[in-house]
Amino acid sequence: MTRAATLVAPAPRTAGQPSLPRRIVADRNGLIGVVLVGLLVVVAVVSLVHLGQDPLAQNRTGQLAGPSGAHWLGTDQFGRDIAARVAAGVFASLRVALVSVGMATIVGGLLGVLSGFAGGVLDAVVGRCTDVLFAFPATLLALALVAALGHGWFNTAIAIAVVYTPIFVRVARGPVLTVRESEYVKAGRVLGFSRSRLLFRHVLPNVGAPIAVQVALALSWAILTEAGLSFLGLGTQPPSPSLGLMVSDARNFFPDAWWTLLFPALAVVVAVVGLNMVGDGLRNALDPRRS
Amino acid sequence: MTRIPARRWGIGAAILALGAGAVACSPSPTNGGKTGESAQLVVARTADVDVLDPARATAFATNQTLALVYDRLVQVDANGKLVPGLATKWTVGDGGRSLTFTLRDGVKFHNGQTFTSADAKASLDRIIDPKTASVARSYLANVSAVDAPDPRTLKLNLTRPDASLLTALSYTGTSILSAKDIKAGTVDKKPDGTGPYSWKSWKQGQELDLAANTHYWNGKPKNAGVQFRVIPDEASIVSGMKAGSFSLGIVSDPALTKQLSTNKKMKLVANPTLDYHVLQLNGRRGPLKDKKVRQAIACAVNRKDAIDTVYFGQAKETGPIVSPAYQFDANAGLGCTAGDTAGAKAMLAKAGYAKGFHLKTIVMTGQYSTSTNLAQVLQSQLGKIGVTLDLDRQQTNVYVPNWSKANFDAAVALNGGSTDPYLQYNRYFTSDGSLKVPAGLADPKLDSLLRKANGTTDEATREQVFGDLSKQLNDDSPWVWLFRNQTYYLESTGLTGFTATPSDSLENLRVAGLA
Repeated sequence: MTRAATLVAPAPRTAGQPSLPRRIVADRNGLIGVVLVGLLVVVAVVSLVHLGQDPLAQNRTGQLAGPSGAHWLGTDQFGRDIAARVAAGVFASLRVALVSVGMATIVGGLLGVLSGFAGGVLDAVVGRCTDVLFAFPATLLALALVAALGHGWFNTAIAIAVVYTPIFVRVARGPVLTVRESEYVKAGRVLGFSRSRLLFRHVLPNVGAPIAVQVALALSWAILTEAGLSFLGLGTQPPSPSLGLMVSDARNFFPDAWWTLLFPALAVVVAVVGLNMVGDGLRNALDPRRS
Repeated sequence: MTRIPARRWGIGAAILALGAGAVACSPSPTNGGKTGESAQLVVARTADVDVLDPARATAFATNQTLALVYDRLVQVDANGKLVPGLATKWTVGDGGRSLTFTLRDGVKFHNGQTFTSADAKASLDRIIDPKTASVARSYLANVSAVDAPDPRTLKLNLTRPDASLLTALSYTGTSILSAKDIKAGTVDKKPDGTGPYSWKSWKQGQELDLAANTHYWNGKPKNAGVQFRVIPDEASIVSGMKAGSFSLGIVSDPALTKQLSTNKKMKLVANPTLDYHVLQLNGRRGPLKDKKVRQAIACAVNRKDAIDTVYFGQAKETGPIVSPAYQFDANAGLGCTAGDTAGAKAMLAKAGYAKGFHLKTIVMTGQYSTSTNLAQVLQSQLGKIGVTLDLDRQQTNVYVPNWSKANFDAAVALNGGSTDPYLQYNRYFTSDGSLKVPAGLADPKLDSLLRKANGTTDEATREQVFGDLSKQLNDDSPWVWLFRNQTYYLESTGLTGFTATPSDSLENLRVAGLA
């Protein structure tokens, strides 16, 4: 039994080891992260069914009212319920983050794996394109793209995706270079496996860990970038709720109506800290030296 | 405890020293403690002067500043009435086809030269000359010749009676320059006028210094000079006021003023200006071609709610005529009560649009802070009658071309007003108006009313015609008139004697001092 076990190639999950989610939760940071992100997801889902208030309903008599029973987090300049707007803003942020990181992961990850596996001209072209994109500061590039593409959440998502694609290319390409020279891939090549089989069955599963960690971190950056773009007036457009836009609007009222600034800002902080901690937990859970 | 190496201490000390130096070099908050006529007033505003030639000045800050250095033939008082400037009196002759001014005696330019009719003639001729490319040229379109029969008399010959000419001659654009400067071509190099302040120094984008003209014909200024500081962020102007760095701060964002009502360091003065907020409708498109539809939209808008939300109640509702000299019922001619949602809905249903429609609405961002907020309020109000405003926020450089080409269904706009309703609307609603495209609508009735008003100098007739114009504009409802803009003056507690004017000019700085 011991002999057999040592002969088995290292796999992401060995028999008897707890499942990945369990390992993430077992990590202290991972647990806090999962709780924070879970909280936001619940809030976002609740916003979809408009349980409490309509985030767009204006109420002139209730302008800039502090937190109360009717409006848990107070109201803004238009008398709109901040709790409803923060919830809807969290949903908008998560939507942009998931879509943009999804696109960046698929495109960037695939390009990285392919260029690393194939090498040659493809690798050179992809590598140089990545370098060009890396040459721009991330926020500046996103700003320019949104300005060119136009407003709206989907265009914002595309802009963020373009900015983060090169990161995924690099994160995916590095491990592929190691894995493609490993003995089991060489063995597969000798056995006459097709390139696609080698790529998808033997290489890809073994470079998943760093990409997974990168996804968690990129999600938090994407939320921050979306908030930043909205803050600058280029992301989500009013009256649609967006955390960045709410912070921007609230700057002038802050000394009088702190709730207009605090709660949307807090939501951004929770999202970013939460996703970073999930990333931490994920990294620890996937680290073979730790298990 | 970690020991900090000596070298780091050195760097730390250097940084501290630099910081201390910066503090020491920062402008002294209270003018070195000077008060009264030896004090210099420090005015903070967001924009800087762009050109130094009054005939080519369009930017607000430029007009505001050059009006302190130059005089006009006539001036407008706080009530919008014309009062003598460099001209002490004027007479209309030849059946309205000439205008003769008697010029003020003993006025000197800052360079010491005496002001005569030759200077006035050279200044007006220069504006009329197409080569000058003056923005004030159209104001003098009816002037056929400028004569200076003697040093104290100036005569304008007109092709037709022009009732708005006097008002136009009170604008900064028609300032009187020195004939010598015009000849030497130094007008846009160093401003040299007859005004209460002379030009001292200018650090572009930072600060501009004016010195009091002790020989000013209307009494020497009650302070030693004015310094304008350019602070692009309005919140920073407020912070500077709180720190006591400025005597006067000028801001436009009503949200900022929320936090200032109880501040002991300054007094907040909300000054209604002639600029007016409108929702422009493009009457050449879709459902908006129908007058009843435009009227329904005008009826559905609740101006008071909009003012309460966007300006925290600190704005004045307005109809088409914004001049304080002419007061008319803002809603006369509309055929409904403004803010009557049910009535508006019924009107819309009668016109065949019970289900409502969408309007592509352009909103300018950047230039003024309240546009997006106003757009959201209008969107909410018109949503109640089924009219959906699809907001498209555009930067100034995108918005202006779209607006000029009327590339919109509706436009949230802030337009410059005038004490003379003819000057306010002739560009939009006359058949040869330069802005008739963005006006969104042409009506021969408006054209003839405007021409009728400008063709007479009889005040009673003009008032009646402008009343008819106001009604006709409401009846046509090419735009929804909302409210008049506010400018906020933050006055330090030491500032005395300053009063703001509806045209937002700073001419009263002359009589302001520091206690």
